[in-house]
Amino acid sequence: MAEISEPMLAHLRHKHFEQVVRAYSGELYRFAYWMCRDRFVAEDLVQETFMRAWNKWDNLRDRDNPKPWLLTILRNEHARLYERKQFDYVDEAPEDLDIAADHQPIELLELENLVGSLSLSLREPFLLQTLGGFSCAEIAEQLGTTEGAIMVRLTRARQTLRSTLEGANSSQARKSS
Amino acid sequence: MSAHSYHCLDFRRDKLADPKRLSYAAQTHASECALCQAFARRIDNFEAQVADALSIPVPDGLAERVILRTQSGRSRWQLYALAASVLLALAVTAHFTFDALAARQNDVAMVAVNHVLHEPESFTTRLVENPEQFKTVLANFGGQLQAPIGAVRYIRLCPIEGHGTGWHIVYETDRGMVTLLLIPAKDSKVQTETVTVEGMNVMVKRAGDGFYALIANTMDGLKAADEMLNKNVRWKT
Repeated sequence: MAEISEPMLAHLRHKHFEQVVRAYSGELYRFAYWMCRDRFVAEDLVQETFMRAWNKWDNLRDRDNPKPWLLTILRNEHARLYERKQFDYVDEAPEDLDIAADHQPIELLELENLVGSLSLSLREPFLLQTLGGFSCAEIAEQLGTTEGAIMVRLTRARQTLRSTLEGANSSQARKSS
Repeated sequence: MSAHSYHCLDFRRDKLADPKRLSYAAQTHASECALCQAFARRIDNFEAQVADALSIPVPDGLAERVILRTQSGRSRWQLYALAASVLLALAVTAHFTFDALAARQNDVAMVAVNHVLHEPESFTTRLVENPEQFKTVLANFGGQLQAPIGAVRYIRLCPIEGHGTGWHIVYETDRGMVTLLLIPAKDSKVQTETVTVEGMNVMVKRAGDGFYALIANTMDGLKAADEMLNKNVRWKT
């Protein structure tokens, strides 16, 4: 069987990289934006992520699903740019969470702002799930923690968003009455 | 009989943790519990709204720029070094020619125009479907909308350099698109002014809980928009 020449290999390698860039740059940009809330920094993060990915392209293990690998690079890049704050966050047991039953109509604009204001420990898994489509177990693997801890953080993220919006809506209703 | 049967609280916990991946136990429970079905619907609606909120526009040509950069092989730090040397050259030139411009760097009008220039998608993206949203935003800022000022198409809460957070609004008028920035502020030093910056016409005025910056392509369009704003909005005093 004829061996593939070096130039051909390089060409195929770059072709694959281009396909990955076109397929995932949008998703990575959105993830980066919601991590840093700055369009220019977000683009810079995406550029740097792909630059690093390209330099280590041979390290890509799952060629059919490079998203987790790219997101890990992006998260590391984000952490490099912004010194990671130390959180006093303690993961609670799921049983301790006070789960609300009611729900009020919500405003998209407020929601957009609220997502950005979630603490990093809640926002990161929330974005990985809502934008990345990852399961709790996959997120736990990426963030180096347990599935239970991720479930608690995701529950808390949704509770925070919903309860803040409910509060905003109630005060809005009081204002207009 | 199992040691732990599946209850409504279990369902809510699972639904809040991962709304799209429910276990068989959760699905079975929901099929028999009307309250949990209703809860699931509310969470699904919430998730749809979250998805809408997160789906910000991606800059045109991003993938091409990424590919181009990897081909050029320059790292961010090399590019920064290159940019720094270009900036140094520009700064030397600018020192002699742009004194007047530099004096306006902190000016509200300049900040407003820079903000608009950095958010070009505000003119191409339609974010507002419900006109009531503008009414609500305005009411929270201390203005009562008496009649429409144009067709509002874009509302976003944005960081405004040096002034915290403000509302970035774009609407269509008979004379073209107009941008309105509502910037909450207690600072009474903000001057009323009408200027042309970077080819854009800007009017800054105190109103409601702060001040607004109105931006239009032509001076006539700006004046007409301001007249319409004052005629159709009653500001709290």
